[in-house]
Amino acid sequence: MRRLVRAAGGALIASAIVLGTAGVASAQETGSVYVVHGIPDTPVDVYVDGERALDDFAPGTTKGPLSLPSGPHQVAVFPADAADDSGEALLSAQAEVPAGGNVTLAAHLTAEGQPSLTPLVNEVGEVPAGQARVVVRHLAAAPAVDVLAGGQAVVSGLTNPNQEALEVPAGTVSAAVAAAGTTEPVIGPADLSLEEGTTTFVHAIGSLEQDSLELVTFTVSGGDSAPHGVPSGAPSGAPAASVPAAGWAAMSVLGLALVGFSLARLRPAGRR
Amino acid sequence: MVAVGVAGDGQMEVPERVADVGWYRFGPAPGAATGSAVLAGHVDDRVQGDGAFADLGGLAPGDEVLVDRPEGSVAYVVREVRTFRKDTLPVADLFREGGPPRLALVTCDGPFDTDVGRYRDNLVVLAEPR
Repeated sequence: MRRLVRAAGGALIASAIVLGTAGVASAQETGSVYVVHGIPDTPVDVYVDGERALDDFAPGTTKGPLSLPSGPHQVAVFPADAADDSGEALLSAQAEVPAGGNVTLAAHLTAEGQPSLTPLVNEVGEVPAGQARVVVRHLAAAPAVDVLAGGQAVVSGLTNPNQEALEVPAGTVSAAVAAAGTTEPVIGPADLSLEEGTTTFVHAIGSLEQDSLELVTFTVSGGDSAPHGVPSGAPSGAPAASVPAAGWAAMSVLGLALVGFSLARLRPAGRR
Repeated sequence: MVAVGVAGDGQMEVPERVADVGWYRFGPAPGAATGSAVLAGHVDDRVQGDGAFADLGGLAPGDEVLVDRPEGSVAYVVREVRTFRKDTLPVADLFREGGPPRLALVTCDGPFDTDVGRYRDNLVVLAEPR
């Protein structure tokens, strides 16, 4: 077993156990934490501040969001069959949870295949109306990769343990991962459904050599924003020659073809 | 009516055909339990004539608005008819995703600025479920 201690300068870790105390703290005193398990074939238990927070956390899965008190937490990862945290940890780290922040703690392989624990800040702020954010993260034992959308590279030369954020029109994207400079997928293609106003975190995990590459994703909503305006007059750039002052009579007779998945009507009721 | 999204300039799309009404598909649909369902239609056009919402200004508080959907009609009662300068349109509230259910009907209003080829104002009709 390797012991890898990473001094976390940035964000960090998670546990279900602290949920109890998190309920007491105010919103300003907690942070949201997601956990990603990207080390193949190694179910683990995760201890936070000496308490078992995640039991039998399966490789290739994610948990969260967990609300943790802000501040430093001691995180240790043990084999899932360990009775407690008295033995030697597979991985451990001191993790800082920022108040009101949103972070991911990822247990994963380095590019060279060594287990590692990496804290990552989650960018979940507003996206422009009609758009979605995608954050791609290289957490796999593999060299630099390109991320393809619809067969075209949208991220180039991404290396472990780095990430890149994109804002794209909401919708479904066919995504794949290929060795940098190539278009032959090593992961995917897989359809990603990107809803407007959300941020989807896509983690490439596993090992290229062991043929265990896969994607782990989670989505955070709440980044909606409104369009800037409603340009609802005269698409030709000029109004009608004579604008009817108030065509109410016409409307009450014809109704107003409205909405519609079929149609809609508008009618006076109790009009003075 | 057609489902519309966001144009390249960040504004809500409004159907090119002035007889059509656009429903903002990234927001709530009419009949949704929460949030503001936004429908926008042109007031008029020199080429195409009157728009679907040419007579929106004839609505007054208390009037009923029915939106027919395949699963049944949704009834609203007009609460407010307001005019905003386009640069002060309260878009965050108009397009809110949460809060009490509401129908917002939007068209253009006010004097037409021939220099920029657009109306100065937006007319907004806000209605609550009956």
